Amino acid sequence: MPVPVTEASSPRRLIRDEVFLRLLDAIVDGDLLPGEQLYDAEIERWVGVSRTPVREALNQLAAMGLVEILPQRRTRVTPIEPPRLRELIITVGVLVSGIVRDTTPLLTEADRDALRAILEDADRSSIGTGLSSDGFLGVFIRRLDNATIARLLKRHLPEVLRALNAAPSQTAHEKARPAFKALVDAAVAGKADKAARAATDIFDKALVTIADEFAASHKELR
Amino acid sequence: MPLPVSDTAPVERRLLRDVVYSRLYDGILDGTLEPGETLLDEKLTAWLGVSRTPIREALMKLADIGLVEMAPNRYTRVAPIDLKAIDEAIYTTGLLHEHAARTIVPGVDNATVTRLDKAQKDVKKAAKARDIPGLGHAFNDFFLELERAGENSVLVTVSEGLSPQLLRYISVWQTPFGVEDLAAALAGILAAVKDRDGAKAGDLVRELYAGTLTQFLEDYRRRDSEIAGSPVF
Repeated sequence: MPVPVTEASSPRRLIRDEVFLRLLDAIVDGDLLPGEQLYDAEIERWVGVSRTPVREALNQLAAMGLVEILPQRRTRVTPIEPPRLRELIITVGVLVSGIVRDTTPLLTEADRDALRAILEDADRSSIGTGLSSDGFLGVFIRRLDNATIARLLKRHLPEVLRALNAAPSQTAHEKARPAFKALVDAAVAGKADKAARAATDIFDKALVTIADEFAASHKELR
Repeated sequence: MPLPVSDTAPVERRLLRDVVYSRLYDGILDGTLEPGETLLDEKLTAWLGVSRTPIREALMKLADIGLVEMAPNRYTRVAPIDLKAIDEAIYTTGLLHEHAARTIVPGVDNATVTRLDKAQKDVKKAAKARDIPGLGHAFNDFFLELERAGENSVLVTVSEGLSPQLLRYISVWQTPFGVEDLAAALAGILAAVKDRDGAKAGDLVRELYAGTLTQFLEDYRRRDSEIAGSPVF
């Protein structure tokens, strides 16, 4: 994820952003697991800062749905709820598909080269990277230049990515690969609607399998 | 009535925050709190008669949906009207509404159709009376009612988070142009809803919102050379 850039950054703001990014990475990468209890004192020791920036960072993560704060009781990493995860994946897919459709006609020659290069690079064409600023999504969003939709995605993608990283199997990755190639091929050829349909497939066919898998494993636990 | 002390504190606090939030939300949308106006904690505590904590919490929520701007140690203010941000938000809303039309309309129930019918009539009435705030709310309700009839609560929440931008935009219309067209466009969508024709409804929604993308590309989007310097993502 790209580092949020702040104008006229005061030291306090920098510390809060630092704590926020450390916690965000830990949640997305799975160092902090879904449902894991978070203790202010431990975070303060871990990051080496005082209580205020820790609370501010936690509030920011709570607004993103990654942390759950019950005042005066407990704070924890939000557990994965398969129905919500499914809705989230579909909603993010609607936005991404719309962006791909409306940006395809705006792509520059450099963008098309970048998309081809991403497709050939196994690391960057993985679905996780694909949905970050280094991947195909970054190429489209930057070209469209709509800051509001960029902000919305920065806010909701981490919740999708942490579920992808915690997923029981590789099914989502495997199903995404052909859709991803179809998206790049269509976009490079200037076929907006076809590219948008492939983008939808990445979410509605590949990523939703994560929600299905979590739903099945939750059932087993019961 | 005496209340047990231990368990209620979080609930009370939560309710207070919500009350403060909706007072401020309404105040910003109806113009009581003006665009750019500085929001001082002391004035807000005096106005609303509550302590600082629920006010800060409500302000953070309002900042989250772009109605308030907070720069720590500098200012907290009502977000100025930003036509670019508004255009961007309306475009984004259009994507969600189009999806809702395509997926929800084919199986929509009669109760929802009745609610959409009412919202469309309200839009028409408001347009005739040149009641611009009323028009905004009814127009917004039309699509939110449709989205609420689906099963995707995340989509509804995202859509609701974008609504205030549309409402603010409509509230600052000086010369209400095209308001009759808006009612006519919704009538067309409503007819497709009644036919349970999701593809048609989706196409009409896309058409209705196409103007925001055109305007964005013509007036607000930066040149490719400028984009490289400070990309949005």
